[in-house]
Amino acid sequence: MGAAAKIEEVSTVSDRAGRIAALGFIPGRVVKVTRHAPLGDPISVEVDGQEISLRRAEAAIIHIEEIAK
Amino acid sequence: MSAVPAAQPAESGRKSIKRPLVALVGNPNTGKSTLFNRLTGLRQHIANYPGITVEKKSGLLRLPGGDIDILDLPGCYSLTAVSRDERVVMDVLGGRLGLRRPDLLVFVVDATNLKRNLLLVSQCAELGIPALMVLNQCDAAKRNGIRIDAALLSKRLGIEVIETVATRGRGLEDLKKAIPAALEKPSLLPRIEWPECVQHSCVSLCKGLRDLGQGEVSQAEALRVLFDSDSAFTCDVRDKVCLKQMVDDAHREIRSSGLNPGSAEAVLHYRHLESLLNGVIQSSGPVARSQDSIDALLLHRVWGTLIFLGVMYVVFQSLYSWAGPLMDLIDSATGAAQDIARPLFDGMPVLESLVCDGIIAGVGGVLIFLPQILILFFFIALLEDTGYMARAAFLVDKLFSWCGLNGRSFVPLLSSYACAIPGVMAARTLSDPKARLTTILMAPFMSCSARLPVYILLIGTFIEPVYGPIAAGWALFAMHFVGLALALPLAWVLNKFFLNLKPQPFILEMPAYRVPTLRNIFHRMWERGREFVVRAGTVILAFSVIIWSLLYFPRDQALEDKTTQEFVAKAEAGTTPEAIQAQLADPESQLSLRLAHRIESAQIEQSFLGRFGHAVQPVFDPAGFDWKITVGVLSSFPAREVIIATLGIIYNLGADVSEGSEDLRTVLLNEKWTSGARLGQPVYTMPVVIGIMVFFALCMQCGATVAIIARELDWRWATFSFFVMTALAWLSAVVIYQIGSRL
Repeated sequence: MGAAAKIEEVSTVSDRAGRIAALGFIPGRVVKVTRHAPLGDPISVEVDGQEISLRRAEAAIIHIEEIAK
Repeated sequence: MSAVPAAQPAESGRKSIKRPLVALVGNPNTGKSTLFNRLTGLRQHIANYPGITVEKKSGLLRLPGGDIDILDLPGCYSLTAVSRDERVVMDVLGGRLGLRRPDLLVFVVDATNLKRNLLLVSQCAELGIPALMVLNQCDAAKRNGIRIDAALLSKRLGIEVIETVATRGRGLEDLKKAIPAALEKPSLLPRIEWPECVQHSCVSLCKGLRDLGQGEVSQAEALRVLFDSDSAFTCDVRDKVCLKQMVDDAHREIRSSGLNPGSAEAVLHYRHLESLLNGVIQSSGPVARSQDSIDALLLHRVWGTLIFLGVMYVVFQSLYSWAGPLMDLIDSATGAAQDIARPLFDGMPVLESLVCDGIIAGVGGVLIFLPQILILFFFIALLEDTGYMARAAFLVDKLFSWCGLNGRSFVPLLSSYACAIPGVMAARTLSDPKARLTTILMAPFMSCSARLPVYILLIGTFIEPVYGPIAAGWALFAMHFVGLALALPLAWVLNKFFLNLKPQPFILEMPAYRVPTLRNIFHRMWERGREFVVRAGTVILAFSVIIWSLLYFPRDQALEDKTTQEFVAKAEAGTTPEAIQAQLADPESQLSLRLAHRIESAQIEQSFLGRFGHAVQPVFDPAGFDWKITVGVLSSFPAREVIIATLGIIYNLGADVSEGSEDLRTVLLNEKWTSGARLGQPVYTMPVVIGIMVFFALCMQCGATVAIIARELDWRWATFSFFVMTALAWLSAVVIYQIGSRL
């Protein structure tokens, strides 16, 4: 949590890929998990200056790579 | 006025002057609805789109140069559609659903998040409909350090761009001028340049779909088939194998040119937008947004949860307690109206009863729901407009996600504990059709306040005297959880096995906190209140009159005379006939009252509903219900709180008894079987008492709820809900009795 990462790819296997990508989760952009809900799910993610909350199952289709410090 | 159908006979009426149709398109939370309200004022019409349960809001914009029809399309992030409900936006824009194609699109765009908002705009450019753009929430953007060069944006997009702050009404006059100007001189958005592979795939998909009997498919629709897996545009295609082959081929072609078909559309649109927006947005670096510090508190694990509970407590209390005095007022006004009306029909008992007990009681029965509906929508508007609703949904989503509901189900379900009517209406705040449907079906399971009299009567009569007040308190508490405990697993089963709807991802945007405007809040209350009275009220009134007639007819004079004779004969012991006659001559005397109650009881027993109760008693026999309980249960189907009055009538106490009545309690304690195998045994044993309470907790004994579900979804779902709940209630009562009486 809190650390930034770069989006590598959005899983094609998921039928939600298009929807998630449309929100701005596209390869190359930087994302950051900013918050968890009290029960652990959903999580709040920052991308391109906006905060969007997703369930973990949905966030899982976004493949990320750590940004080298 | 409200009866005017919104959908005009599309192109057919050549002679009628056709008003231009303008559609508002945009993401959720852009202030689109506020703008719609500002433009149309109270000249609005709310209906459902044909064949689906999506709300269709249309209204009239009055302008000096001529009136314009405005259509407020559901908010969406993209044109992606996997269900029929989601297809609405595309269908309207494509001129399907029997609706007219809009003459102008007004894109409502959130200035604080321009790039993401423009994705939908870029997708819509494909449709070739003239457009203009409203850049809303400009004040918030400025506060966040975002500066947008609207003139440059307008030049790049080739359409007019109007800056507004819809909540304050700023920029509204400019927009009212721009709409007719854009209709006069239409301008189109630049289309995205698709790479060769996408263009080619679209052409072959169009051709392939035509061969599969789908008729003419536009490029915009072909793109949906290409990029949405399991697109709603192909749900009518019968040859799924052939379709899949076509789509797979197209995907292969896209993949071979180095694109991921899952995200390609978004990637290409954003690339297109990056170049369009170059130099348009100037951000003064990451500014600490004011919402971040508030979120740190409101979304905090401990404090956030506590504040959430506090807020929900206030909402619930206001529905449960504060609405009480208003409801009492409506109740006594109904009584007063009946008292005024009664003497007007002297000598016409049927008409008197129809007007007083049928119609006036029915109208009162509709209006009685208004205080709770208005109060709830006051809070919903407040929570949504401040931006708290999204946070609340975020906090509790996990509680509901496992069974197919989501965080936004909380408020509808909580308010259903006061009354399912506002609860079902509140489910409108759920944008996911599947979650909304499930929430509506679960709402009537929550133990509403109309069930309370039954619990109080039975717990007070049978549990408290035997087990003490603490056990009674726990019993009452437990009764409020029976419905919930059954509803959530049921929702899971329903979603898993029966609902053939694809789930949508639960996406929540955390909108900026704002100060709500009273104007908006009152608009919401007025809109929902009017809708309830006009659309559901009529059905509820009809129910009320039907049930009245089933309880009233056939009215038998001979029966009344016979009952009177028997009564006089019985009372004669110890008194002279003259003394009895003298007492009966006074309609206020004890004896006359008892006779009136006896006659009422005899009449109800042989009414259509009473006869039906006798006839179906064998159905309730396995639950240990005698015919009196059965009639009580049956007469409670229009409204469950009626049970107390019905029991009062059946047990010769009159309809005015309350759940606290000592007389009623004594009668229940002493009631014995008068026939059958259980002759002489008490009717109300513990398993029967618990069975009745659980029956009332689970049964759909509320005509108003059936009517509102039919209005919000359709009659098929209302019927489904009615039968499933009734069957469940019956089964539970039987199981409790059968097991309980063997212990």
